[in-house]
Amino acid sequence: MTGAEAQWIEQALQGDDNAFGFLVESYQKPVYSLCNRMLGNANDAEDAAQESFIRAYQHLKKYNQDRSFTTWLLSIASHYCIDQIRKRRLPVVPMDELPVEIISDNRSPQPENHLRQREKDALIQKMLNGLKPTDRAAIVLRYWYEFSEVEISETLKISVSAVKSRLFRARRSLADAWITNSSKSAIKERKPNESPAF
Amino acid sequence: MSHQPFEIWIFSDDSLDEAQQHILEEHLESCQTCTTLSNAVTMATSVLSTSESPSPQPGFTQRWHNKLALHRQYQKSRRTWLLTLAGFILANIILLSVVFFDLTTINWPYELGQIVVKISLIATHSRQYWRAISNLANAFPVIIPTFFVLVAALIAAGIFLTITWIRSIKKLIKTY
Repeated sequence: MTGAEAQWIEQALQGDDNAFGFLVESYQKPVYSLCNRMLGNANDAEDAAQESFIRAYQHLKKYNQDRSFTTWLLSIASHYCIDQIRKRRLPVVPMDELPVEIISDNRSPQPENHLRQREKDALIQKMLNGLKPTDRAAIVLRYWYEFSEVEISETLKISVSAVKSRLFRARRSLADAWITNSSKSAIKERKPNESPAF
Repeated sequence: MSHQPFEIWIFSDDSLDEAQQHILEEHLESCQTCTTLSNAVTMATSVLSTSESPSPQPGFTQRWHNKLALHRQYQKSRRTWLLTLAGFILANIILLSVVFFDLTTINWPYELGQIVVKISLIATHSRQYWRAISNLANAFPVIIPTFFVLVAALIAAGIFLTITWIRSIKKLIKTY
């Protein structure tokens, strides 16, 4: 955390909305990204990220400044998303129907890249949707935020051994999803060469 | 063929020592199942860690400020609503205790006693009204049963409409 961020926290603790607004500006991307990966669509992610920041602002007094602000913020966001998944019982969206938000890349505006990115995102979301909410959070924190097992345990408020077993189970599930997807793709690719007589 | 402990090693995040690594590599050369699993987990986690993070639409902070304002408005309405409800319940409790209990029998301090005397006067009147209303209510079914049924229906409709109105207001507040 930078000196300016520490100052914003102090000012936000005094009730300065704009100071917390600066923190929102700084941390919007990691929080939104986590929510997006957890919930699987842009609208829910936006709501969840906004709500997470409101909760963070309301409970800012509970934040221990010796700890990482990012970990604390992502902890709020991940718990909120886990609750949302459990409450709404979000259905597993079919791969083709997934609303994937594509970040425009000015350096490579080719439609092939766009399509490839879209397919990649859809595949990722499909794999993540097959995981239990807490396992999904553990995987997102491990591979997008490169959190250690200790950091994940602090963020999700579970033991390190629980993190290990959740990551193990999640990786197994991801591998199974990957194998299933690869075999489906192989069948799709073969189809054009098949004889129309069959 | 046994796939243990190879499967555990493949899916575990703990790094293997040199000997374990060597044993695993030897096993992978001869086991197609474990090779497929190992490749799949490597590919899947690689796709996860190399993919771009989605970004929010521009204006996120401004939308957050707007949402915060709405959230505060909602909390204020909720607080007002709860206070009104608590006040209503308290007023009912006081009214019922005044109507059904004789408060003058309790030994109150002087100032409080004066208030209790005034409340008791109201209570006496209330009891009289209550009795009158009870008598009237008892008389209605005998004298004008149709009128009584009509009044009851109107009261029920009134209660129903009030509940519907309260629910719609609450729903409106919830949805901002």
